[in-house]
Amino acid sequence: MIEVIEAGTFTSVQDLGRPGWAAQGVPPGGAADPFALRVLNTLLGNPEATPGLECTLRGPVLRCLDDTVLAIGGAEVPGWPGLRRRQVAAGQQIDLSQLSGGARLYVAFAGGLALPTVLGSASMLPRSGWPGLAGRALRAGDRLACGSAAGATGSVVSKPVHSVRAWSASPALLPAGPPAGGLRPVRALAGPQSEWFGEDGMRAFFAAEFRVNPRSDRMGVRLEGAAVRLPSPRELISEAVAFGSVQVPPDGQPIVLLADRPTLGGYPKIAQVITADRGVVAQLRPGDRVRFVPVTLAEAHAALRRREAALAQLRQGVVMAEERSC
Amino acid sequence: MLVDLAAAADPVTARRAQVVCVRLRASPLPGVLECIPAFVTVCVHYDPLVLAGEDGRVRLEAWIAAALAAPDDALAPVRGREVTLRVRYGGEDGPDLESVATALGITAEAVVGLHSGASYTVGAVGFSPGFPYLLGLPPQLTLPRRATPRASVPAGSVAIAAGQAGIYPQATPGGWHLLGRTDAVLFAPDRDPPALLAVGDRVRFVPETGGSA
Repeated sequence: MIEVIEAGTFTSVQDLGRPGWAAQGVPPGGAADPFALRVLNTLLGNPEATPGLECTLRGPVLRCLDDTVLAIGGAEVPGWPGLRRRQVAAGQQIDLSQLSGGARLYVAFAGGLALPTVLGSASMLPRSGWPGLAGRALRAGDRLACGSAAGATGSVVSKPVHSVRAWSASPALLPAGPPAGGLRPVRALAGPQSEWFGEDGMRAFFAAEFRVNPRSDRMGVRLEGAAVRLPSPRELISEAVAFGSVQVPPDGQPIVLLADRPTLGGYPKIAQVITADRGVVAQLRPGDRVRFVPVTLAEAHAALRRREAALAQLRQGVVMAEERSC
Repeated sequence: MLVDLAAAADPVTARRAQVVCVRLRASPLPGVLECIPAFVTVCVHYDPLVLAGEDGRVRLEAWIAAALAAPDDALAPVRGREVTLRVRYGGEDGPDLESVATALGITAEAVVGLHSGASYTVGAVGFSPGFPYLLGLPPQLTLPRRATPRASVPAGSVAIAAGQAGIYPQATPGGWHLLGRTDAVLFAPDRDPPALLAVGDRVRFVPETGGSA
């Protein structure tokens, strides 16, 4: 059992969301930086989609009421080595409030969090009353049961990892961002309506530098900079959007869509962030600077393959280590 | 991958988008994650690790082309269903009925008559789980969205804005004008499928007699 002592700015239960329900109008939701959560769950021997906590800008203070094995990653907590199994003794309090190197910290627990699901996911969906905890962010005093989920859902290892070994993931799997206010390159493909902006417009977009607006949330990262304009006004009939779609509303300030995006969008999409860089976008903090870097589809796929191969290697290592110990 | 079917939204194109999606789902291609119809497009999400490289792109495009090429009558049974929804117009259930009538310069009865007299087609499902965007609103009922959106619109609210009709499945924030309310459950996570309405379905509204309208 985990007790929330301080909730932090916005701490919510997230797994990998509800993919596959978009035709029913269900936002996919799930971790804003899905790869970070997958790495942590893999490290703990959990199925990749096991729910954990997503903490934003200022993390929570938690107390473990039982002996708990957990791992943190994504943003960094000074003094807390990330991407590493860590045993927390019953009664011990952990302070994750100070975050650096990114906007979002993930906390995964060996065995996961035992929570109700809707359409196969425990992820909070805002305004719906769907789970997480009654469809809301965590509050001080909340208690979360953990430690039983992995056994029930079939872990990659035969049982949840309840011991700590010198086992950690390479920091290269989840590289930290630059210091606050730093410039982040984000790799992107031309979007479905890129032609609407013309060759000059696309050149200007990829040369421009944007700053992250504080009104960014799990729905999207709002950028500000020199306005991106269509050469002539044009209306888009709403169509499906994706994680990382870069929409341009009439004010010319792009929005990069994240996990809690609606399923449909009516603004032209100038670019599409590559899957391998979803985490880069999700980790942007207000004030960070961004530039989009054009890549080809082949380069995007190659980046994804490299990343997935690194995760597969970690998974194999965890399984082998567990088998040796049985 | 986005497939454009037409330049303008109409009931025929919406039904075609749904037929194409049903056809695609009926002959699944490994690596395809989901197909989402909306007004004039079909969006296909796929796993680039499975449908990789030039070969993957060719296979994906051939699969979509086959679904587009098949004659529409091959899937006649999946043509949209016809769904009738009973609506209590006006009063607490439709708090904007009077203001809509005033803004349009017609009576509330005329608004109800126009809204319930039309036949609608679901063009897209989105905004919130199960929310249908309905094509077919009589042009006389065209109004911009409310200047100030409501923080919470009751579930089942039947609404219009910007030349479209819709129904709020859950209590969510919303900026459309509320004409009435239905008891139909637009979305139930444990139902299969969870959304009552799919793209291409035809919808009619019937005023509930004895109601406040």
